[in-house]
Order: sequence, then C-alpha cells, then structure tokens
Amino acid sequence: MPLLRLLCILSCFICTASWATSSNDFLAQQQFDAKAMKALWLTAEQQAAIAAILSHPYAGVRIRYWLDDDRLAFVLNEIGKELPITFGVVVGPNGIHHMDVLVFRESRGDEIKADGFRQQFVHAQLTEEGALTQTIDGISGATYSVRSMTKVAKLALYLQQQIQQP
Amino acid sequence: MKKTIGTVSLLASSIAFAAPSNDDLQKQIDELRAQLEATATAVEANANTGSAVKIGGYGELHYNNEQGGDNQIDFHRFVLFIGKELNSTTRFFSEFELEHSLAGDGKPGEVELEQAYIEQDLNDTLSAKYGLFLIPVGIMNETHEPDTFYGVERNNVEKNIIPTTWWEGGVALTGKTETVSFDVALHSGLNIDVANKYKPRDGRQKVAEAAANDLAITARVNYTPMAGVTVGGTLQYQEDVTQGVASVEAQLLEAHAVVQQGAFSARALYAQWTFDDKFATVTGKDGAEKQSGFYVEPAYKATDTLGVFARYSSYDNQAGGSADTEVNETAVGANYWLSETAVLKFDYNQADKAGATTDTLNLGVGYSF
Repeated sequence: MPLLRLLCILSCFICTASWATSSNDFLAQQQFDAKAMKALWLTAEQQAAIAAILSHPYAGVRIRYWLDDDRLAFVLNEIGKELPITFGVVVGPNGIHHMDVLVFRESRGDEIKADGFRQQFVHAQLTEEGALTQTIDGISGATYSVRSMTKVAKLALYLQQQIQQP
Repeated sequence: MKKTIGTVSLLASSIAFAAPSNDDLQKQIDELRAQLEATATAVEANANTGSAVKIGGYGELHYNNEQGGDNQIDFHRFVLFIGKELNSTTRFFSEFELEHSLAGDGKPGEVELEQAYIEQDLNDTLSAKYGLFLIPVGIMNETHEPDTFYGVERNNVEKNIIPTTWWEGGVALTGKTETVSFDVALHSGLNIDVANKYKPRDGRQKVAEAAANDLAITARVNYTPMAGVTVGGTLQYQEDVTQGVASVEAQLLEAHAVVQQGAFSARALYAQWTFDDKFATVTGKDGAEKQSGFYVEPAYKATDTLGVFARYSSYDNQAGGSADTEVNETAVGANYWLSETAVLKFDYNQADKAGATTDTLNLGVGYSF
C-alpha cells in the first residue's frame, strides 16, 4: 500500500505534461512578436566584451533579439556544467524585467528555474565594473547553473547598452 | 582637338556602359545579404552546442604536511566528464577518474567509472536515470568539484560516514516543484566483508561485478524555502549489507542544511548508520552497529576571489561502544580563486583521537572546466 501511495504521488508529476518552454512560447508570454526578430551583428570590440562576460569566446557572429517599445528580449544559451542551458531574458529601462529558463539539459542544478531564485535578477543592472547591481544568492548543488544564469543576465544587459545606447 | 574630344567621348561612353544600374546594385546587395545570412547560420549551426559531445572535467593536487609524520604530495584526482544530448529529452552523462596518478598492481591509484547513465525527462517536473549514478545523499556526494567547496581534502564526516564519494548502479526518479525536490532510487548496495571490515566506506562495490543479492533503496527530499537556503535529508535501507553472508540489516539517516546569503555561507550535516545489533559481533568491532558524525562549516567570501572558512567535525565509526573512538577535528583555511573554476586552497586541520592530536597543514590547487 505505501508503494501504491508513492505511485499515485508520482503520477501527479507525470500527469503534469508540460515540456521545456519554446522560444516562441516565451516571446508570446512576454508579449513580443516572434516574427519581428532583429539581429545585432557583432563587431570585434563587442566580441571581446562578450568573451570577457562569458569567460569564453562567443560562438556566433550575431545575436538575435526582439524589440517591443522600450523592452528587449533575448534567447541565449550558456553552458552549465557540461551541457547548454537556454535562457529567455527581457530587459527594460529599469534593468532586467524577466528571466526564464527555457530548456535545462543538465542532470543537476535546475533549482534555478524556481520563481524565488529568478526573482533575484529582476531590476538588476550593470555597474561600471560590469557586475550586477544585485546580489544573487546561490543554491547548494547548483553552482554551475547559478553561474551561467548570472553571466547571461550580464550579457543581456550589455547587449541592451549596445543596441539602445550605441 | 577633335581627337581629344573623341577620346573623351569614347571614355565617357565606356564608363557609362560599365556602371551598374541601381537595380543591379540592389540585386548584388540582396545576394550578398543572403550569402551573409547563410554564412552566419552555418557558423551558428556549427556552434550549436546542444548536439555535440561535451567534454569537461576537474582535478586537484594536494600537499599534506603532517606535523610529526610523513608529508605527501599527490595528484589526488584527474576526472573527465563526457556527455551528450541524445535528443531533446534524453541525455548521456559519464565521469571517468584516475586517482593518485598511477593505477595498476602495486600502484597507489585507481581508474574508476564514477558515473555513466542515461537521463530522460518524463515531463517538466519528473526525470528518470538508468545506469551508474551518484547516490543522492549529503552535500558533497553529487557536487564535489574543488572550486565548489572549502578545504583541501573533502571533509572526513561525509567521507567516513556517508561514505562520499558513493555511486551505485540502478534506476532513479527525480521530481521537482518550485521549492521541493525528491529523489527515489533502487540500486546496488554495500557489500561489507565483515571478517575484515566494518566501515560503510569499505563496503562500496563501485558497480564492478558487484554482488546484487541485496539491493538498497534511497529516498531524498530537499526543500528550498527561499533563495540561498536549502534543507534536506536522505534515508536509505538495505536488508543485508553483507550480500547473504551474515544477514545484517542497515539504515542510513542523513540531514543537511546549506545557507548562502550574500558573502556569508554555512553548511551543516549529520549522518548516522544503524546496523543490526549483531554487526559488532560479526565484525569484532565493539560499537560498530552505530556509526555517526556531524560537521558545521561557516564561510565568508571577502572578495570575488578570496574566501575563508572554519569547520568543526566529529565522527565515530564505533559510536555504539564505550571506548573513546570519536575523532574531533577543527579546521580553518582559505580559498583563492584564480578564475571562476580554478582555485588555490589552504587549510590547517587539528584532529583529536583518543587523546592524541595530529596537526596537518594542507595546500592544494584545483580546477574544473
């Protein structure tokens, strides 16, 4: 009987049949037109700045973004421990407006998907030294995921500066 | 003069003939734009890290200076991770390790397969593992890259009681909500040779032609009530940790808390094994039917690159007996991060056992990538 109860509890998780959030779903939820995509073609200077933020070269020549009035949306990948995590970020005049984990591929560390954790990034901006203006408290067992998310937050804020204040 | 005018006219008409029209220019611009888009798309496709084999790893070199004893320098671990996303919901993870630099007959090291499993997302909140995986227990058993913890060596409570690092073969389910995660695993168990051994650490079979007459079941719950705070615990049960030799039942209870708030962090853990009462008799180790330990470790990260810590630990592999077999340790030290994942470490550890004190200075360098 205890095993039957356990199976019933597990079935509640299985029945929650939702999968990773697609980029289009994220954009729709954040009220962006997915078809109105733009691209920032990266200069050598921007590539160098992005490499400094990520601690590795950026493997691309452009970054796609979406614009809605004074808000920008990005879908960005960054390695966690071994596999890439896909993040959705919305930045606005007051810094980060929203951060989401769209696809989590690692075996551990997906506690970063929790709303309470992601809320730490809201209103974060970049200091002159390139750090976030808000402290991000980590999660036990999710060091690499937290690190990735922090880098992506910084990257999105940097890209906002490049696009809206060139 | 006529010759000059004629030359100029001929030249002008030649130039007019060679200059492309606006339509031609627009066509060329469109073609170039398409080529540029195609090139960028190809670059991004090659850089698409989702489908390629991923290699990572970690390693650590230790120097142990034991006062009044022998000193040692050792490349304790060289580890490689190999992983691949097989499709959007299925992934392969593995961890291959060389310990102490040299493995083989008479050599101090070991070559080990520490992880090799398939993970599959059943939905957004539930995933399954099939293969050889780390047991969901403790603070360090699953996350132990050198840049993620303080102290040169892994703490002796988790090492001697849990026993970290501990992996088995089997199946596991992991479920997560906003604040709670759980793991349930059915897997191979310990095999303690009671004629010669009594510690759980010595019962790890490492899925190497492991006896599977008696499996074990492990359940863990972690609760994250707010950012930076995690509390959790693990229960494990195995009907016979001797795999049919002496019929010794065993349970493991473990509880932990991890706090990170700004520059301050702290870890606390308690773990206890309870074996069948006859365990002391069959092993010849009075008190071995209960083995337990705990530690508390506050730390402070003064800058982005420098952190300091202190740790008090106490553990006893014969806690059920009356003899003084308890080991109490006090450690202080620091980590200096050369980069995000490369770290220099120092700690000073004092261990008291049965009235004797051993002081050790430890230095280390560690990395992960």
